[in-house]
Amino acid sequence: MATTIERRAEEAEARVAGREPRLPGERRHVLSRAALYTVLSILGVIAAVPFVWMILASFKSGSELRQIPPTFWPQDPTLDNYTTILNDPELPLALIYRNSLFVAVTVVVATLFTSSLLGYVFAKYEFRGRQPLFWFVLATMMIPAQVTMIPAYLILVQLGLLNNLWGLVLPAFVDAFGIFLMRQFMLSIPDDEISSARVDGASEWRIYRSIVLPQLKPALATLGMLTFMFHWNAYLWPLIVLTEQSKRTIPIIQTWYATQHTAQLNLVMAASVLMVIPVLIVFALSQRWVVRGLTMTGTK
Amino acid sequence: MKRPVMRWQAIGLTIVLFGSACTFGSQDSGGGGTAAPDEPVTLRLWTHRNKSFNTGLKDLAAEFKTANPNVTIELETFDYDSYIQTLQTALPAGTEADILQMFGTWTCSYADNLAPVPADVSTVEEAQATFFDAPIGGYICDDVLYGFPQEFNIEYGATLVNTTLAEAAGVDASAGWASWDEFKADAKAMTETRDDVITRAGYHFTAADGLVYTFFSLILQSGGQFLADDGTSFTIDTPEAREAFDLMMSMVDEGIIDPELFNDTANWVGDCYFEEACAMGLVGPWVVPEYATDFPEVADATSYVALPTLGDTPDFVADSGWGLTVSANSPAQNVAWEFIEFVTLDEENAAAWNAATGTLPAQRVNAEGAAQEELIAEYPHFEAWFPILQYGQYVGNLPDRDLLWYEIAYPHLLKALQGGESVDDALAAMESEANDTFR
Amino acid sequence: MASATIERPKPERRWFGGRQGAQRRFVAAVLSPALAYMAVFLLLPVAWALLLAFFDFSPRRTGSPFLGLGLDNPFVGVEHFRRMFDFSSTAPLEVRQFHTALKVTLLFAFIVVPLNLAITLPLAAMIESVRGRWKVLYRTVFFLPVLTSAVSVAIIWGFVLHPQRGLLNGVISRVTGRFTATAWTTDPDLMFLGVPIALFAIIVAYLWQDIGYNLVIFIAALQAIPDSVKDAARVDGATAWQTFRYITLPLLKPTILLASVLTMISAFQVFDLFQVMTNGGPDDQTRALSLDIYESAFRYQRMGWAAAVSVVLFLLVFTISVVQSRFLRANWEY
Repeated sequence: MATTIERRAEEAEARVAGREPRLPGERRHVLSRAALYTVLSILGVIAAVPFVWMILASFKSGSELRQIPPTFWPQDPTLDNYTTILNDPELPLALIYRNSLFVAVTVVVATLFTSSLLGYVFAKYEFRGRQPLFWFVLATMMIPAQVTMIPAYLILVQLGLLNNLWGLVLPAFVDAFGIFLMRQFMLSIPDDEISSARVDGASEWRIYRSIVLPQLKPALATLGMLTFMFHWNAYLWPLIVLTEQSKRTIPIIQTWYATQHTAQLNLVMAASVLMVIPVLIVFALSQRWVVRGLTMTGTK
Repeated sequence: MKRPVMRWQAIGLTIVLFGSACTFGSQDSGGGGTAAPDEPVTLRLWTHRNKSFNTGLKDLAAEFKTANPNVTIELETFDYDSYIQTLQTALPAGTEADILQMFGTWTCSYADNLAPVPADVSTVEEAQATFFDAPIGGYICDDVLYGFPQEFNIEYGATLVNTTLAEAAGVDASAGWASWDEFKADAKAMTETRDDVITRAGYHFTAADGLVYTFFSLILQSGGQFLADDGTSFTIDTPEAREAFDLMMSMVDEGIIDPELFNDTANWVGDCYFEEACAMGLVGPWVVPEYATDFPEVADATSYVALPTLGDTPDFVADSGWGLTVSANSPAQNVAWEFIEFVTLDEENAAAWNAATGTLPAQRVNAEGAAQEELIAEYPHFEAWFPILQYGQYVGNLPDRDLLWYEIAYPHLLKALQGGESVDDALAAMESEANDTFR
Repeated sequence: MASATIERPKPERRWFGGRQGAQRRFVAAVLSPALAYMAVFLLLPVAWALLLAFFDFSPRRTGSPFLGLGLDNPFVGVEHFRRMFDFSSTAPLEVRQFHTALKVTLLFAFIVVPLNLAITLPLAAMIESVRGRWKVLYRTVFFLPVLTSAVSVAIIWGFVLHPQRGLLNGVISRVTGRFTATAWTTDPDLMFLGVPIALFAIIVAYLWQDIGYNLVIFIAALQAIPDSVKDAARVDGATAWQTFRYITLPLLKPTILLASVLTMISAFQVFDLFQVMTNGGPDDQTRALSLDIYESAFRYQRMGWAAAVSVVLFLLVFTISVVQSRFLRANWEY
């Protein structure tokens, strides 16, 4: 489905592009195009430099990184940093990846389920109090994390859920932003199929599962990617909840590691590169869906 | 991130919440339990995470088990930051372990939930005779003893000296310095600049701990005090404090250090020294093993040299040290004390732990004779510290030591050295803010 | 065009008929656990935080069985809020730190949000006007920083801005031919238009990391504008700027509103960059409210006071979001 949408979009672009030369002001147009690409490329380089620099730095030796003035390209590229951190017994990377993956994946699955279901209900059902309830859900987005984190922490202490990954997962099961996104997306899906399925005697759950859910794919991919990224990179709440090294997630370990090795940015950078890889993979897999997913929601 | 973060919400079901709320802080902390002899006992021991500390304790626990087969000690470790957090919430809730590793300075703020040392284990006087004043000071709250230190935590008294850099600058620091002027001249000789910017600082003392310990220690050396005898008020705006300030300011003025480029967040002293961006640096001896594997050459060239003094004796402020205490909720306090006695009061075991962890001894006997020689053989950089241990004065049972150190003293001292605040204002502000912590 | 997609479903009589019960049961089955969940995980903590704000609560002390309040954690009424209005120089340290934090957070949010929109909107229009593969490339490049964790961002920028070894000073030294070691994030005297440079450093890092997000939202919104509309304008001889100003911009209004409100809400809560990059320094110049609350609550265990500050943050976020929505209100229909 993505491919057809993509192809259609590209065809449309090609069509517009093909017509361009026939438009007035051709020369000015070519010039302004060139300027456009130049500006975008310059900005793109600026945006990319710190990221690229992180990757390059992970292949430099510690002494090269301490050099004054600094170098940009590694003078003597080395994989030592990676072998060092992969063999560091103080840095059990496999375990920490597992913790982070458990949290991110569980939350993604739960959020996709609850958001699509609630978004569907808010978009396609008429019931008393729908509007105020939806506004209530939206309003919860305005509650800063800092307000709830103190009582939340005290509750975790009482439940003995400190140092437990469920302490990160449980509060994230329902996501107001996800409900909002799904509902907006759902509004663009016509009702006909749903009503005809009803006429055929399908149950409400069945309609959700076999008619609604398949059509939500772009929105699910978008929300899934954003949720994964958010929880993979989450910092404040895991910092408060996870106090035991073996239970911690990647960003916490990353700061811990960085403060342990402030003098060895080469290692810190290698660790940072390893930590961003899973997000890059998820992004690469969902990338083509994201813009489509957002396009079809009411964020326009 | 863009997603408004409404997920940091509470955990838990209402039922559990209101059910458990009933146990909130209502623990009875009076029940001192005793376990019958020979009954199998498992004691939990909480400690902060530090590889050599933890291994040292595990070894002693194993040894203890061979002597007392019925007792098992289980270590549970926490990262330093979260350990504080865990203690602060667990103790009032009564969910802590039987034996708690404490940093001496914290002990008194938890005293309500800790068990006093039984008189047959040790009295206050006996403990004061056994341990140096500074480390034991943290374990005595209102004349009641709550535990014993394992180490002497020290941050002031000697400075790291990079002998290679010293030699290159024509400086011989091995004999120490007779006066601050001599010291400053050598530090200046080791300072390097490029286009008037310091690229290598002569003496880095402007990290948070370094600056605060320097300030308070210099006050003591010039014959002053900052904490009233009854421990309920601060007097910081004194002539002695001004003398301390003048000395610190002179090092900035003479270009040995630039407090804007070298402080706690920029070029922290440990990093700065081992990266050779500082020739000398003020930080306790624990720092050397931390960097030795990554910077072996600098570590080899490192020696600690005692700093000059402002008065006659090298008095300094010290912060107690790590040690062991017992929870008032423990059902087997007698066994817990037996173990602590075994670890901290036994001279040989205490010395073995110091050797295993690279810490300075808390016990007076272990700072002399064979125990001292053994430690120096393994940790040559300890040598300069032994002669001054006896001059350490415990900082006192402050209401909130971290608050005084990092939110009050350090910011004002640094700001004054950077020229953003006058010395008068800094002293006055420190005094009033410090006294506010007694509220 | 917007109305085509956001149109409310029109219930048909037939729909309900005999199936009404089943649908009602479905709605109830979905909504009741969700609402119960939100009550427990959201409303309860908010209520608890409000309660805490009226107590001098520290988890270190022993309180009554009810939530640990009372006894050694006494009720202090509006004392916390009253003290927030003590602007004298002799006010307690935590009060002055709160004032600083409030200022820092407001400055940060009111600089970051307009800058963010001023960058992302034109950039999105530019990327959208580019063809095929290039578009994907640019989009990806600008989205890369979003994927990077704030901790990595802080570390990277910490190095870029390092006084002696940083890239920025390295470039300046090379250009000027004079060794420069500006302490961008630690020198309290560095100011620009009365705003600390250290705060600007965080703003730059935050923008760098954050623009990709709004960029994607705007690109998505731009793509939803049918080509026919733009083509028509172009055929009529409108310049690119005119098309953008009079066609695109008005159509984007709801998206701009949404993006600006969300950006504002999140700008008020940024924590990781402040903690990892400067930890509030120099001289509390980057002590944001989120950091202030965290430090008070979890480092110094003044949870009652921290809860009171968090309530202020809540009120601030709430008020500004509402004002913003009113101010930018377009035909934004639900």
